[in-house]
Amino acid sequence: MSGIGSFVRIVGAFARKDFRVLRSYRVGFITGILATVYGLVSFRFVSHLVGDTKYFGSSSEYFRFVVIGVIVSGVMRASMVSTAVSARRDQVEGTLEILATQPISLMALGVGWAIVPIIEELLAGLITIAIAVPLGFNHITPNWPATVLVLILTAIMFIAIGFAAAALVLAIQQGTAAAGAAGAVMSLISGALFPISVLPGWLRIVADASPLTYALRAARTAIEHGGDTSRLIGQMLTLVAISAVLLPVGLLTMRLAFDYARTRGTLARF
Amino acid sequence: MVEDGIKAIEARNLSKSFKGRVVLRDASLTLPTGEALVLQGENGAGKTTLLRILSTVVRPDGGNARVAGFDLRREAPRVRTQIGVAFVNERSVYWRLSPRENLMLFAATRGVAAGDRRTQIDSIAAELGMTAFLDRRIGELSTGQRQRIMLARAGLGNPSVLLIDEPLRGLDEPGVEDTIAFIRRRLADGAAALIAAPTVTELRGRDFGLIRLLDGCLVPTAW
Repeated sequence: MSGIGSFVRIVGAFARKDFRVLRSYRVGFITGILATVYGLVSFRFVSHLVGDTKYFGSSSEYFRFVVIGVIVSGVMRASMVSTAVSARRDQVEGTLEILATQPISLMALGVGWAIVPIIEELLAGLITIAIAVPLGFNHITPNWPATVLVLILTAIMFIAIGFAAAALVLAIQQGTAAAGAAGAVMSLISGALFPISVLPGWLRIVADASPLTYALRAARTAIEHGGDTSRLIGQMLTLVAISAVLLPVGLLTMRLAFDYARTRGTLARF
Repeated sequence: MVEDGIKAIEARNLSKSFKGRVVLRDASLTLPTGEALVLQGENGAGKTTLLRILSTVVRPDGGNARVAGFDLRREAPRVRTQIGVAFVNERSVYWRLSPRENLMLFAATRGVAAGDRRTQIDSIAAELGMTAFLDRRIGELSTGQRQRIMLARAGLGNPSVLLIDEPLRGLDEPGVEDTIAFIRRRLADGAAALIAAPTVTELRGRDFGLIRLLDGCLVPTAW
């Protein structure tokens, strides 16, 4: 079977497995939706405090800003943290070692670890928009295909960082907290909940180095100014370029971590 | 299956230490295709380490091996296409799923074509007496039933070399006979099996070879 065929087969098998596991925890899905509703209603009220400032012309403008921030940050977390969390779960539950005996590529394993959380988060994004519209998420000119593409590119970009976090899990049985912390810092400094312009100057420089900054810019263009094709293409190409750099690095760290664990004989250790 | 003239396993001078404790010392063995070799040793003798090395999850410190003709160090991904592995670890299956759902996942990772997975799983389940509990959740099953699932998983995709750790552990009498028959059928089809076991009473008289692991060294032994 071809490399791509094999990749799709294995990722598909992981997806089916994780959907079955997810189905056995139905309450988690419902509480997730309730948390989304709670978060959006809270931000809607907060937006009334923010309107008509030098940053936002109205409360609705801030609400739009934050809804997009919440969606993109969710995709980032799902892609980056879930890879490490799934690796850790296989390590603790005892299935990692047997997976390491299977004829599967690291790319398929890594994407297989993250695919269901990413799909879940993309669905959560749709639900978020559906809930946000009656709360005041309007005055937008979305390009929905471009929005979906931006979110997929965001997932690819952050899954690469997730590979590095999974590598930490494989090598030293830790890494989920580091991935979570990195996600929290990026959400804070990249303009997810407030504009980068409110940050001190030195933090704005750090924000420029955060991949989330570019994902948020592209998502905001796709949803709020979907007709601005040239800007949109430029921003999406930036995401592609960042992914092209991060993916090989992420895969390399995972390979090195597997080698390290195989040499020390610690794949089964948790 | 392994090509004619190529040994299923050819290990030369394998050695492994963990934190200064020598587990394997110049371990060498040859296993022809169509044969099974029982690897006997006391608890902690290094049987599992040897199986883990041959199944590519532990790197040897010294020596090398060829599995189904592929170099363990340089061609590990190709070795993985040839082996079916069952470790002693009943946590190595997904407990929230059924045996069938577990086996469907691993049939995919083993490269079994989508259209053949169900048939192959049903066939192996019938061989190992698993049909009655194939769709129950793993968490509800007994140790012996879980043991059969791990063996069934090792047989998916018709591997050339079975690497099995303590396959009879926790099995009742019919389970023991089903397992032996399962291994024999694969030998008849041209596969080979390396079976680690601390005690060999139930494996005696089965036409399997025997090798003993003593102080990290492999010693050919008569039954």
